Amino acid sequence: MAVFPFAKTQQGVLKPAILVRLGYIKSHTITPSIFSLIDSGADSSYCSYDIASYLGFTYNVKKEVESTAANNKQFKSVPAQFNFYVAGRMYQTTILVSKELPPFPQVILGMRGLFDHFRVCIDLNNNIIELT
Amino acid sequence: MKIKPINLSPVLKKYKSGWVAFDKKYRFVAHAKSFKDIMKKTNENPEHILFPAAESYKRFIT
Repeated sequence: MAVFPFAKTQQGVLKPAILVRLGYIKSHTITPSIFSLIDSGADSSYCSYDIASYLGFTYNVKKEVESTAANNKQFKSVPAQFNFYVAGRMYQTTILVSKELPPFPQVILGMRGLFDHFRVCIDLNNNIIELT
Repeated sequence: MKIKPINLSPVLKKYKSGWVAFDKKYRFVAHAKSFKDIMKKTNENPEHILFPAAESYKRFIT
């Protein structure tokens, strides 16, 4: 079990974000820990191209897929195989790399990528996020 | 078990975009516009913790 506190980003705002390291399989490069937003409403996990390009990922427009944001706006991304380092575990997963993510968050942890590997408990009353 | 949230707001309110790097005790280390730049500024220190800066974090739906 791993326990994470909530991150307070501004007055009155607590984010369920946990520390995740990302690794690109083809380059063997790994990021430091990045605050990544837990999003149970996301089918997949997403990462910005800003991070992915550092890891050596090449964005191929021919492999683009479309995703739909909460405001019904479409945006494009490219699937890629990344290693996730989360709560003491390392596993490979498909993540969608997008050039269109907003400034925050730059890593979104969705059903595929987080919830398919952990039981996630978000306890706002006690300010903790538990992964088991 | 109840724990305190990590309060990053004193640092994050100074930056509207880019990346902020913290050390393991969540003390400010550096800010940069892009991920590549923050990695350069922090000498790619794997111990650092990175947070994307934004103008606001309120009223999000994701």
